[in-house]
Amino acid sequence: MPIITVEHLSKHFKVHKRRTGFWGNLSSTISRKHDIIKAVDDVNFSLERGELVGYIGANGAGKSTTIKMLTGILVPTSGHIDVMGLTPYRHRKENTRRIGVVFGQRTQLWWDLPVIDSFELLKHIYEIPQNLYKQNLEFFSEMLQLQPFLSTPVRRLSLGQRMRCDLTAALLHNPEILYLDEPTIGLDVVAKEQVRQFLRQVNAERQVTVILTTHDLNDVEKVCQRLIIIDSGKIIYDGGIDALKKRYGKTRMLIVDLAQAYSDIQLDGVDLTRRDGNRIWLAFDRDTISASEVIAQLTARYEIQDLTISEPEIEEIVRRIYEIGVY
Amino acid sequence: MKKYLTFTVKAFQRTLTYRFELWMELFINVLFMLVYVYLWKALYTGRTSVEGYDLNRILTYIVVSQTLLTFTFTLRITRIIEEKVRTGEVVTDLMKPIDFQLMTLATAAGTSSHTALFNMLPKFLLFYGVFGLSLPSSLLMVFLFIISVVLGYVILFSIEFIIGIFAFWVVEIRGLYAFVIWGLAMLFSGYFLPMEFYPTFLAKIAAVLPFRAIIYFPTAIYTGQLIGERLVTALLIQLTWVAALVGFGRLAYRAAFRKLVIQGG
Repeated sequence: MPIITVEHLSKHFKVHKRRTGFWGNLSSTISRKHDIIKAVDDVNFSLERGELVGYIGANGAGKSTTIKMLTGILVPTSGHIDVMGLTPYRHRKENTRRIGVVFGQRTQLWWDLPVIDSFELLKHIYEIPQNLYKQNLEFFSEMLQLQPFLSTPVRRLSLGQRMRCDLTAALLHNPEILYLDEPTIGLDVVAKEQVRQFLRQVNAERQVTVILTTHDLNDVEKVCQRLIIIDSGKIIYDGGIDALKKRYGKTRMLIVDLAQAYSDIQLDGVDLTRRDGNRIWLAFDRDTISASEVIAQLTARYEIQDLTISEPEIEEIVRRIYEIGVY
Repeated sequence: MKKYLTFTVKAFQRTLTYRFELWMELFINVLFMLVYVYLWKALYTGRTSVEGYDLNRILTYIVVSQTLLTFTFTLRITRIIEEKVRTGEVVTDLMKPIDFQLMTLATAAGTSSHTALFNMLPKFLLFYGVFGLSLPSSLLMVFLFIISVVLGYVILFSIEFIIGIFAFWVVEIRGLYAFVIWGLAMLFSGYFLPMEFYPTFLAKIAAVLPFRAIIYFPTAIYTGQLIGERLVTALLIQLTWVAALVGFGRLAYRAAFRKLVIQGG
């Protein structure tokens, strides 16, 4: 039984169209025309309990809109959502009791209260039994080293400290699902790594299902087993990260520094994707031609100074998917 | 219920953070009250009683109403809601298993209890001692006065809450706030003068508006202007406004929430 099922989910927004010029302005005041924006457009996926999924897409692709519908604060235009047997927007309160949400861009802690006071407020809001609260607080304080700043007002915390507190705040009531909207935004390398490790550990030890939206593909690569890519409201990839690499990572890149700028370069089974002075970039499919064959061709015809082979990074793969779509 | 009480307690504690602001407010209030007291003293030279108010009673009225006015400029509910809507923070509130209106009221009650204890009470006692003001005629009257203050407070809260909810539809609500709170409420709440001093047509308008229930009713109960049947009527009017405004606030909030979940943040 999946913990989350999304079927034919769509969310359309009406955006008022403003006409320009005097008459345009006048007619806009009298009758407004609007465009329909399909923020989420016929999306389908399901998640099993304990999965750790990266949900990625460019700005405006529909990530946050999906998360808002899953958390129950946005009503879908059409389609069906089932989260733990509930329809989130119909059973908003019951749903909120069983999920945790973290927004990288804003905190759910009380700005001018000490961290521990925010936790206590949450204890009452979620009606967490005292022993469970104590147990969880100890667990997370130790894991995220919160002790030194538990009595500091939230406004005086660094971004990294605040994020650690926000993660704790979202998990104190033992939610079954944790939604994270860009949790590593603005963090330094060390803090990012801390957050990633924490997510892996929480997922493994507590069986919390995690959905993570991010722009940092290192998050996805290091944390998630599964990746969903959304673009212009539609899902364009849903599968394992390794599978993605296998499918799109077949193309390797050979970067060659030639001894001189040859005017005409002819090679078999290889695409010349870019050239810059004496340096050329050659893309080839590793299933049809091996690197040594390419190099052999090259050395037979041209004089080479240096060369390097690069495997495609997930970042590069996703960038290409954004740019040219699934291929 | 306990979770809302926690909000009250935390808000009370939080207010301690802004000590400087509190001292400034207190200082300015006291200056204003002094000006009003001396103004009325000057107006009463050569007179013994106007509309049933002798000098002692009018001074008591002015000091009590001025003290109650403190709630109006320390509440800030409209501003808080407007900010939450503007920054999108309201979404984090809605993602918690909690009632937004009750949570806002509980928080306001915490802040205002602090104000009552550390700003209003000392201020009042100072003027009470220096100018030899009167107390309510009996312990029952003290009790009824406090009930009336609380009802008036909930009315003020509800008005501010409703204005704040407008922020879901319009970007700029400071104009509306100024019009209602600094315009209508100031004019019709009876804080400048007792309602008895109002020209008939203004008194008639005041009678159909909720504002006199915020300051005039409790103050008139304190000074003994409202007794017997009129006192009971005043309390009933307050109760009616509480029910109507809390109910309307709830409807407004529901509509705002519906707009939010359909049109997005």
